[in-house]
Amino acid sequence: MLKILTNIEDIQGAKGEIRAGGTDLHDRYRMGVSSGAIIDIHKLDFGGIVENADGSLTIGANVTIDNVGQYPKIQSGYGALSKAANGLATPQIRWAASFGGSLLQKTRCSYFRHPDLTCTKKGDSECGGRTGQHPNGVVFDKGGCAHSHSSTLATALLAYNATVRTTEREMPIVDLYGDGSAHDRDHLLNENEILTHIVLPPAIAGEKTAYFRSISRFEAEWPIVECSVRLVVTDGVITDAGVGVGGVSQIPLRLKNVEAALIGQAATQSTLAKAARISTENTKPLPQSAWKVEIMVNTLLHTLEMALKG
Amino acid sequence: MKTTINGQSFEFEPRHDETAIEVLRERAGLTGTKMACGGGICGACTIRVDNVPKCSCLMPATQMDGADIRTIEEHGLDNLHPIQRAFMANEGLQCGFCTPGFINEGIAFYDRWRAEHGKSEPSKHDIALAMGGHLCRCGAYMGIYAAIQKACAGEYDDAPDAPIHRIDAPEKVTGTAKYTVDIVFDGQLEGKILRSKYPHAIIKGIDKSEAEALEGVFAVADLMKLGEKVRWVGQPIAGVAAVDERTALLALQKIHIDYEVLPAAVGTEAAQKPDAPTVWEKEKRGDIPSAAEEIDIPYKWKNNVGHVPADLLISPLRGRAKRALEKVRKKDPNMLAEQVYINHQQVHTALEPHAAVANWDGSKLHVVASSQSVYAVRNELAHHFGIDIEQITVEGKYIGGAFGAKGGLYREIIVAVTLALAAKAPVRVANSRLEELAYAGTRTGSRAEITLSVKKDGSPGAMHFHSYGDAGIAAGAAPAAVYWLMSPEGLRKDFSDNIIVNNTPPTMPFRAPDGPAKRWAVESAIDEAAARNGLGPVAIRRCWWPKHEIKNRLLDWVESIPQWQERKAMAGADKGRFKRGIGLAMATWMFLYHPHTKVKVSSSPDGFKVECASQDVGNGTRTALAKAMEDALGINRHQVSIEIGSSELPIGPMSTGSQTTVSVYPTTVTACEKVIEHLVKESEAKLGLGNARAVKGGIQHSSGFTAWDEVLAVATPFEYIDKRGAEPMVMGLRFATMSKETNPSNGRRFSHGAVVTEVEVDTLLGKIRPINVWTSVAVGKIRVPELATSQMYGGVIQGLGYALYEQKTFDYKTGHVLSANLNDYRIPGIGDTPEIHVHFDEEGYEEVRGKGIGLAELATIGIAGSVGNAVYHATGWRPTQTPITPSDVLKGLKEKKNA
Repeated sequence: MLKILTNIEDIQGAKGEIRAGGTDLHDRYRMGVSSGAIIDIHKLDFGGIVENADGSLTIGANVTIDNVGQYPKIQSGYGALSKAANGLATPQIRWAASFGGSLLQKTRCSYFRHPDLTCTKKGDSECGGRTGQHPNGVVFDKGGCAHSHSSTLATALLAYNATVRTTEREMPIVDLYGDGSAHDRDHLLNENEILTHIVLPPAIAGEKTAYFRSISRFEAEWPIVECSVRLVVTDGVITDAGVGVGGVSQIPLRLKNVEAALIGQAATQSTLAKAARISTENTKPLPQSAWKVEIMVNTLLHTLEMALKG
Repeated sequence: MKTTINGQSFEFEPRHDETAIEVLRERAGLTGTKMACGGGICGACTIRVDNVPKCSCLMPATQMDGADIRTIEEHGLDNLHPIQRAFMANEGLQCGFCTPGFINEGIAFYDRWRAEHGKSEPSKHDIALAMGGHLCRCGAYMGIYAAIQKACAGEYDDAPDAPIHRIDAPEKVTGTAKYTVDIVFDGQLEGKILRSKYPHAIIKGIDKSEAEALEGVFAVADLMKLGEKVRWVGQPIAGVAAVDERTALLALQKIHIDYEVLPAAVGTEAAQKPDAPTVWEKEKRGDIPSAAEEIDIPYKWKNNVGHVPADLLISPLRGRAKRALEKVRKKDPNMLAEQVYINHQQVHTALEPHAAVANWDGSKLHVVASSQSVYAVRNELAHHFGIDIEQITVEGKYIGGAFGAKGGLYREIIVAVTLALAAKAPVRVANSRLEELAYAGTRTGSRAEITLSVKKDGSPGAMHFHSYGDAGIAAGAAPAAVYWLMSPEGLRKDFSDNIIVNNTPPTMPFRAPDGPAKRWAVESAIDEAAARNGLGPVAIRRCWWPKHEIKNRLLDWVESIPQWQERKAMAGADKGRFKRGIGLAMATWMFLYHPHTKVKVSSSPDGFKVECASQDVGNGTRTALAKAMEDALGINRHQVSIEIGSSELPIGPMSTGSQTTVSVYPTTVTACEKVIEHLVKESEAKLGLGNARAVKGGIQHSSGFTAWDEVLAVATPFEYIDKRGAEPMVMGLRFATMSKETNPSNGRRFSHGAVVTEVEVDTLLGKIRPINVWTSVAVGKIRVPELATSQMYGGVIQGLGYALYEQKTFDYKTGHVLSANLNDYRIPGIGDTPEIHVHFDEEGYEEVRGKGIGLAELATIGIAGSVGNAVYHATGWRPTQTPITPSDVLKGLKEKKNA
């Protein structure tokens, strides 16, 4: 029940769950949450990281998170992505887990991760957390599942307006997740559709970036709220901005209203504070997660300040 | 597939979902690699793959193909890596279960650091980032920091004689220490437990036929009778022994239980509702498990709320206390410190789970268990299974942490023995991390209503202290009674202890049961009373204990801390986002010891040997014994042969109640004296020495010095067993109230401590960062300073977890535990470790045998209280519940602003 792909074409007709680094899959298998056949794509070669002639960057989906975080061109041109990659999970996980897997991983909700509790993502009709415990639940509620998406790197890719390539198509990162209405899904790939590449548009020189997550301990904790931010500041004015947030909705979110409140404004503390507050527009928290609206605004403000300070 | 493990070629064909840890432990027999969380969070299973650290629990076995795998077994005693030497020399470990992972990560970090920075010391921040994927439940982080810093700086590159304080450190840093989960007997089966999926139900039927028919299943055993009730999710119903874990788990799914599901009261709130289902029927209340070791507290019940009528004894004049408080309330209610203090349940989560291997050969029952009490478990097994005690041996050589949850005959041991008897083969039962976090050990939750007044001069006025414990399905919490024992003279008391039984798993004793909760409430209340009465935290405590020499000495020490001297008088004085504060809490605890302990010391041409049926849970029992030999004989502790962890040996203390060192150390010393007497005589008789007398390392005599070795070579082998004995009490009377062989006694003295914690509160994000903890204890003479310091560090770190991060959470509809993995149950990591400054006040306690009493529990009692008081001092907002989460901080600060 293990099929190791050495040729991507062999995915046709294969049955099972796709495994790259295995860091999410084996956690679930051991907990008794998932089981069955495995299709291993660890040996497929997607070409690593390629700097394209037009200045864009193509990253193979099985590049490790650590390689994403340490790659010089990503550090210099896509700071929010490299900082997010270096700021998530733990060193051992970053050395083992793949970029693609980190975008497609399953939710870290405790109802999902417990073998005996109900969860829409395990095929149940009801989300256990919605009527149960959800103090770390969503604040932009899309119904159904009450827990946030787990991908940190997706928040950075949203800030960069990246695209992803699969064995079937190429699409903006936002379409990988949809609008959050598919409560049984963590992403919208079809069965046996393999994510092969992540494409970043040409880097903008001198961008100011930051990644930050609010947690209770020093490190190695799934976020309450996390933000990836990039700002382009020209002569004291913010001319471009990208803001991705996690921990707040069933999908990773790009906050365009916050970006709009930044662009064209003076790069000052009051602009940042005003923009951060705008994030509360359209919030729809759950009863126990309402407190997170405030920490979202504050985390966003903190991350914007970090970016501006450089 | 072909891989290389520690330089040796190894071939295997993995199952489809096999991970590297299974290849290493089960196929290659390399048990140094440890499984703890199974989810890539704790790092105990870390190996190096082409010198990159990876969690072997998540690494697909297929990725071992062609890889160079290095495990903890790579560097044995004859070729130790500087990191291994550094961990031994700096006390970078206690129980040792997380150690292989830390060592492997440490070696990789050392290599990277050296390549980039040469011989230099990394900062603690650098190390915290590199070690972020590792958790140590004992809290050895201070030693780990020091070890890695010094190793990187080159201190152990060529240091074969680097000190090794902890006797069993060499086995632990090389992966040769065999824990219960590492034991494999021929033909050993794997046992698994079918646990109740409902919090309250009657078992109407157990259909085992399908499970029994499964290939590879050797036994399926009922653990409950038909018609019996399950009262918590996780309660064992049946057990399976099968050829391997997968088969056993599959068999569990094939056992069909017919439940009659009953309405349940999950949590104390549900249990107190007027229409709450009755958790324990009147006639079944005798079966209520105890959360307080073997102390049975009598209750008077009103449905699910049990009231301790004995509290009349601890506050007989409660009317006077009530009147005194009402008087203050009428005059000036602002002078009352009045709050409801809450502590959520904390989980022990030792990194080695509850585990036992049982083997019944038809006439002998041999049990290996991860146990705090190998000697007592033998008695309990005999009683439980009706087997003659002579037929039973219990062993536990290395225990991967316990903290109170592994005392006595626990459920997993019973299941292992039941299955071994049924299968007629050795059976291992080891909990998964989910079972460990959900069902196998929890500190009682607490709700304390406190109203406190102090007199104008700051001396104690009156206190209303009513506690409501949450021990799940169990009972036996008494923080008010425990505080009563230790409260100051003149305090008028209206004290009451209550329990709210509910359909959640039973709690167990946890390092100072009720201690941290009691102090969280009382020390917060005293701090608040001080603020309301314009007194400083030290000043009020001096008023409470004007004549108490030890407490006042500890308060002098508090006042000697420079940061304390600079403490701002007003709370919340810092401007801006980050606010610093410094808080004080005092602690007191009982002195427990084991009067029945016997230690055997022997001498022979092979050397000196010491034996005792105690066990080492990471506290350092081996080292305490060896240090006593070192002190008494003047030899190096590593030259002593030590035998512990077996019920066959002379009776020894349970690893509870901070009693191990105080029971074994003085007994070893006095046993040594008899052996020395013998050796002196023998040296005169057989070596013809004149005027022989024992000195350090041997015998001084008229013609010089003769080392022990020479004396041992000719002396007749000799052994002496000494008994700890009871402490003399007032007028020479002995006071051993609970003096069963398996129980400790309490001594006349109390231990005392003071903790000062400095925190920084991020008022924007609600995060509390502990910066400094100064902790002092007065327990008399410290016998093994390096290990005592480790215990103090660990107590601080577990206390910080209790104060800031750890909370067992439930789904109240189903009764399932939500904090069932180490992501959702948050224990402190290395980066959460503040600077910890340990001080020992060694005066006093001269009349105690050994001149000292225990400290392991005291080390954690005051921590949460000091954190709460520091947060108040930083912000002007007083936290009332633990853990103090970012959500509490943001909410509290907002309420304060609006007030």
